Amino acid sequence: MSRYRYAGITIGAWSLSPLLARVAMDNGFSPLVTTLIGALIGAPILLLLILRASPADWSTLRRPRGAGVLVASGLLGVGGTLLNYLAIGSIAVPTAVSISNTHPLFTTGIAVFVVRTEQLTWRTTLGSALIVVGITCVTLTSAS
Amino acid sequence: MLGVAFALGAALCYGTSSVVVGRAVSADSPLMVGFVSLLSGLALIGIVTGVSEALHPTLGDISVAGVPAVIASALLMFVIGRLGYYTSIQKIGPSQSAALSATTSVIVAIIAVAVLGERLSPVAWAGVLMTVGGVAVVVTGRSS
Repeated sequence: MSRYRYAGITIGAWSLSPLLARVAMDNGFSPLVTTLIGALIGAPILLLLILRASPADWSTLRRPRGAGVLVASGLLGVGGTLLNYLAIGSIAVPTAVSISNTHPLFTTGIAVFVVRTEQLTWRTTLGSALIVVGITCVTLTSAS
Repeated sequence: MLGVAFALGAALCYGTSSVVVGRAVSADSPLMVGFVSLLSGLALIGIVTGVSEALHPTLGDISVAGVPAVIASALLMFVIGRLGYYTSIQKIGPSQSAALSATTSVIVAIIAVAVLGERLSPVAWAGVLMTVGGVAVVVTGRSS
């Protein structure tokens, strides 16, 4: 059960965060500024945690390929957060979060069709169909 | 529909990032992965925000009442949630982590209705549940 503790923490944090972001936007914070403030707050805190937890393992940065991977993930992650905040500011929060949470579908698509590390199965196809229908229902009928 | 496009863009970014991060956390600590990736994203967002504010200033619209929400959202999204998710990927793998994190859609919908006063039609609720179910089918059916 302890292995799933971190997933539970993630669920709690990522459930509350978009709702609080919406409150911030209702008080004049633009999606861009909200994202920037978030990254400005998060980066030094993570750095402090790294310095406190153990001797800094900077070997990742000495391996150019490893650093490149992390930079790419950062650009995508923060870019995704900005787009998510733009969505939250435009449509109902549940609608925005439901659609942005379909990211595993894109992960699967990349794995199957781009990097080709996985194969398309009937479960993947069925799940994808459910997601598309679900998104259609949410976007066409939800009220903000 | 622009809000829907933003949310889909967020899903694409997050999905691609998952493929990248999955490789990174196998070799490095979630703390280091989270910090370096956030730092790179911060650079991007800083530049974009600077240009945007120069062209279309929005800082004057900010109300102090929104500051606690921004700070709390930042801590939850960029520190607690991010670290929790990367650690979860390390402990239980990306597929299960993604499936569990998709349940935030339902939790967000419930809280948004109860606290923010947003309304969802029965069809929209069905859409949320179908989306979550579809994600669960996709990620549990992946051959990773």
